[in-house]
Amino acid sequence: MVFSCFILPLVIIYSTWWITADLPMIFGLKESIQSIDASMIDVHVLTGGLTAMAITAGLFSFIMTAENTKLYDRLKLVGYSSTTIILASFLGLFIILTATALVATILSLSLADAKSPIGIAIAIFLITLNYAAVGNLVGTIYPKLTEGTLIILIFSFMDLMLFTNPMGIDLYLQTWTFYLPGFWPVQIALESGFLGFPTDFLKPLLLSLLYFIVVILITQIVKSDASTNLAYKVRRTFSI
Amino acid sequence: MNKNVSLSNYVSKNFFREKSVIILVVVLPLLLLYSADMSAPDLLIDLRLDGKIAQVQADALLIILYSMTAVVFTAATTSFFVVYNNKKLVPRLMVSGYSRLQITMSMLLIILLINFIISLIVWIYVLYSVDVINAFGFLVGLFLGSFIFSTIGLILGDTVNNKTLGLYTLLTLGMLDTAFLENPVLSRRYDESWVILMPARASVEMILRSSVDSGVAWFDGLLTILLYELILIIGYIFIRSKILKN
Repeated sequence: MVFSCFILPLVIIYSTWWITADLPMIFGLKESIQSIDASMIDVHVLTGGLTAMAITAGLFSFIMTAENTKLYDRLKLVGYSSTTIILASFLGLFIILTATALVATILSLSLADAKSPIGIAIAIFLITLNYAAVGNLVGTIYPKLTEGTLIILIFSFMDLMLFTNPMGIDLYLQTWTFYLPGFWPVQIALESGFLGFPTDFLKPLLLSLLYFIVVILITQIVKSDASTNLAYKVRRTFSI
Repeated sequence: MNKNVSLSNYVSKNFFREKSVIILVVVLPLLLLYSADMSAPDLLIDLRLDGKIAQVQADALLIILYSMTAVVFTAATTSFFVVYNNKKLVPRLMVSGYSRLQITMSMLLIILLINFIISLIVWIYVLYSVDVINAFGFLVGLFLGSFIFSTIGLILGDTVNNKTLGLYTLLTLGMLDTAFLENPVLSRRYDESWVILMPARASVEMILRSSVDSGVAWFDGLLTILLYELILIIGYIFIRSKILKN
């Protein structure tokens, strides 16, 4: 797993750079009036770095959560609280994903010229956090390995390569896309890559962190005894 | 005959019991076709085909190529699941009186039926969205592309022990081949010589020839596809028999 945490994102980022066509792209940003004229290769390498980390973080967080479901119940039985269990499993994952994100950042920056490398690094770390939380949530709600990993893969890919990416021409900057986990990190990455460190940096940073906190809270609520009892009652009522 | 029908029925029920089938056979192809519509830049792309350069609208080209991706995903994952899920069942069926041939034919029937239905649905969508020169050639290209990836799915389903690993290998190969490498809108490598070795190459050329006038008949690549298929099957049988011998 540790080996795959590094290989998977590196393969995605490098192959994105190696394959992508050198076509022009013109797009705007949510918090800037400037339009950006860039090569598809550079846009894809920067968003590819985010996609790679989203997939890696989402998948491994999901797998860890799904496989630890039974362990979680036993730990609760011996007295650990939900918060402690979630935070402990997150800590282990966080350490590995931080190292992976660092390597992904270095590779993305070596393949594309970015005006503000710090902004790119922050964007990659934010997307890693968001998708680790999403993977944790999906693993809590639906811990079936094949279906769950497919959901994460498809969702992260559609989010970062289509809905929040200038590639998704008819969808980019639509209002509903602001609520996707990838939106604000992609905006930070694009502005840092092509214009410089974001002038209004606090807003996208805080909104991205808020997203992370909200998803973790939802996971907590889902894992709580109250919601487990409610789910049981619903299942009994509908005889599922 | 009744025995074969009931066996095919059983195999198909086993197949649809797999929850990820809904995602792979319905959701993923629809998402791919939808994303082709939504992500195409408003550009004319220089498509190099059979030594000629044709200018094609990027959105039309993406729909054509992603239609192959959609079909290939469905075909590969269908075969994979049909074979993988029934691996332990096969010896029991043989003990119950079914021959190896009956079992194989039942599985192939389901695989080919699903491939054909998905190819047909995707074909209708493409005809509705873009102008093609030869509709029949397009359908044949789609179906043959699905056939090659079905074989790959079949081989993986029979060999791998880890379902998730097999599935991801198929998705990665299908995506990389049809949505990226063969795609002049996204890839700068699509006309490099080594890409000929990719499984979907000849089928993609067939559907492109059916859509764009390159001066070459659409069925020009038919022999290549059949040869590729033959090499896959014979190669697999040969390697498997060597492994079983050892």
